[in-house]
Amino acid sequence: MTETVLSIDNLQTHFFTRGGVVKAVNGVSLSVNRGEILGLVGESGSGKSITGFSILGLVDEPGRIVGGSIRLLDRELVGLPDPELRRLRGGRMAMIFQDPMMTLNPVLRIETQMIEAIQAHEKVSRKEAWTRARDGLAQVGIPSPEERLKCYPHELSGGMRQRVAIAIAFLNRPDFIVADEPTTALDVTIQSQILAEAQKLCRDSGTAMIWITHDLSVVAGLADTIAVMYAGRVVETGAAAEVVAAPRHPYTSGLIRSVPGEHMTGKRLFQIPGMTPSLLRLGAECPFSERCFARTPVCAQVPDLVPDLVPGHGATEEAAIGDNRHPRAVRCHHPLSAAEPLPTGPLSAELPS
Amino acid sequence: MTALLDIRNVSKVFRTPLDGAEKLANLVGANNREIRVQATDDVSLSLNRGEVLGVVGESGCGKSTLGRTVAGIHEATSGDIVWKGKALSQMTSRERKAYVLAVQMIFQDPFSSLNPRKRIVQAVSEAPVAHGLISRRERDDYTVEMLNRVGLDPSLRDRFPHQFSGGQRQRIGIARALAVNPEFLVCDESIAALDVSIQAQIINLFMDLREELDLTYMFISHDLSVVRHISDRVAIMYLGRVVELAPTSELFAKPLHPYAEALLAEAPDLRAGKRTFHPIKGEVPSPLNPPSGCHFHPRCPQATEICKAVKPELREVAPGRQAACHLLSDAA
Ligand SMILES: Nc1ncnc2c1ncn2[C@@H]1O[C@H](COP(=O)(O)OP(=O)(O)O)[C@@H](O)[C@H]1O
Ligand SMILES: Nc1ncnc2c1ncn2[C@@H]1O[C@H](COP(=O)(O)OP(=O)(O)O)[C@@H](O)[C@H]1O
Ligand code: SF4
Ligand SMILES: [Mg+2]
Ligand SMILES: [Mg+2]
Repeated sequence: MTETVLSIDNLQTHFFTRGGVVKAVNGVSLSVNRGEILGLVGESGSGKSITGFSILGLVDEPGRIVGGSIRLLDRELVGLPDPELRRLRGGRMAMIFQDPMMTLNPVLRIETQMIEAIQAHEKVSRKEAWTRARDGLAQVGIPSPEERLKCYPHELSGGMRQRVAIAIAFLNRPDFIVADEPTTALDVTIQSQILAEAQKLCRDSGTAMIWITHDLSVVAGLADTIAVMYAGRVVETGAAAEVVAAPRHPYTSGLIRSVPGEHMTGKRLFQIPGMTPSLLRLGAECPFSERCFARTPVCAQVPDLVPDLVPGHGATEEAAIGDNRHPRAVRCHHPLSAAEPLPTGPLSAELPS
Repeated sequence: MTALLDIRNVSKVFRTPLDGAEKLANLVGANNREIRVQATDDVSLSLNRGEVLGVVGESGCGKSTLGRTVAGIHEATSGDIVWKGKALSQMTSRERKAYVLAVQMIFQDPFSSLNPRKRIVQAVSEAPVAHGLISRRERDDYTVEMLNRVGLDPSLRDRFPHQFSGGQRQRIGIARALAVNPEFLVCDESIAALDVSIQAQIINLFMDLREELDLTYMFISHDLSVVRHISDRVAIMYLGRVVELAPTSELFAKPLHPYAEALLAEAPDLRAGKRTFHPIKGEVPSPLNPPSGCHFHPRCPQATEICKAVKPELREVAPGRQAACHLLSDAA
């Protein structure tokens, strides 16, 4: 049986700034199963980090969750008082940041920090906590963990520091972890080591994870499911392999086709015209409409995120794409059909007016 | 055919000498030593006119140093750059000036190289006016022409850099480089800071410009899929040395050097689907203290005794293919 660990429904987190209300998260819905990884992708400013912060209860003024629900197992997190959120953080849920120094204290030895992290949530002896800390480091591929435990963060390389931060996040076998671009600053060979370790830890500990990245290629190799964000909303979600193989939303499709690949060598890349809209001035229309090749007059209304039904997908009757565990959903009035050939070439000049 | 640009045995060493306090401390028995980094180590590459040479490798392997040496920003510690048959070290100051204009560099963050108080029209037309390529009166028309060429709305030319998005700023950086009629562009991580959809726009622009202006590129990037897309040949660097050089399609079909093989296997690939990772062990060693022999030997699954002791030379190991690996030279 698959168990849904985290489910978010219509989450809205807004920033009340002097310039106006920034709708950073404007109706996000997604869910993650036990032991699985959801890749949350989208371009910068689309609301990925704020979605992560909202789950952990880390949104600061002038930001506020103004609507929606976040359920961790059977518990509603929206509206939970701060002390209770703090108890959950580092225990049942944790966050890994792009900069590991957000987690690590520069003036304490790794040992001290890890033992404290364990003892804050569990009554165990120092000796036992130390053993768990050492095993935690070994699990993320840190050579000679006993010696590293005695180090201060600045004595480690960037890749090592990130591994320590990951080990700390997993220390108390949390139900859920958000990892926010944890390998973006690292080199390919180090990134690949860390992806391998994260994948294994989730599988072994049953932790559900949201892996935030702007790099579709990373989640294609790592994640079980994908949620694509645009302008504060999830526009498409489903099993990772299916979304990448047959994107339904014009934005997802554009993103995938703009990544260089073997078959494209030397040719012009597909390009999505224009750039992302300002979150301060979102109107009633589909926020992607000004860049979209498929738009029609109905796109003046924001579409809902609806379960994806495709006529004649394999069989003659309507069948939902996706297995039951990873339902597919898309937020578009004119989702691309799996069979329909994708438009090729740069479309900037061919936008409908 | 002589190469347009020939990099001959170029090495660059950065030295950070001891400061006064460290020297004093040494007098009383401390052992402070000058910091010495060999950023590039005997690199030889040549580029033909119209060609795109990709340069890849992990951070600190010397890509930027090589690019800056080619662009005349750094002086090589040893070796020489030969431009159209003439060595940089032999050039008159006049020839050298022409060279510095002919070879332009495009950086990762154009913002840092754009003066925040200068309007775009100034940023773009400054150098061509200073070098007498255009007269002051032609500044405005010339800027319009350059902005059109890079796909930027010319009516924005009186704005300041901060009023532009990342992708637009990169277009401004490119327009500024093109304004001095270069023949050769060194692109150093020029699209790394941009979002995917904007990356595609800029890559397309580079490819269009190559055709329109018959440009030659040295395209430096840590992103293998981008390099594969745009390059005719690719050089892979590790700790200051070129370890493999090959035509792009052949390299990606079958990398020969063990490091090249590991790097290609581990690059994330959108179309490969979910996978189990089998990464190579360890990290890139510190360039302050590089391993003996082949720099890659501590991480190499196939290393033997000779790899620890002897530096492998970059040499032809198959027709059109060069690699620096004992394993391959023995077989050849
Ligand atoms: N403290 C803040 N005040 C105002 N706006 C903010 C604040 N933090 C984030 N935002 C806005 O929220 C939007 C989403 O941000 P973020 O979640 O960080 O995007 P991503 O992680 O996808 O790049 C951005 O447009 C950003 O400008
Ligand atoms: N100006 C400099 N002074 C001292 N060391 C430098 C300087 N520039 C680069 N280095 C060193 O040279 C090595 C190669 O750096 P770089 O060429 O920037 O590599 P890459 O661009 O491949 O990341 C690194 O170890 C770096 O620290
Ligand atoms: S709703 Fe309309 S404008 Fe928006 S993505 Fe779908 S087709 Fe394009
Ligand atoms: Mg972010
Ligand atoms: Mg560099």
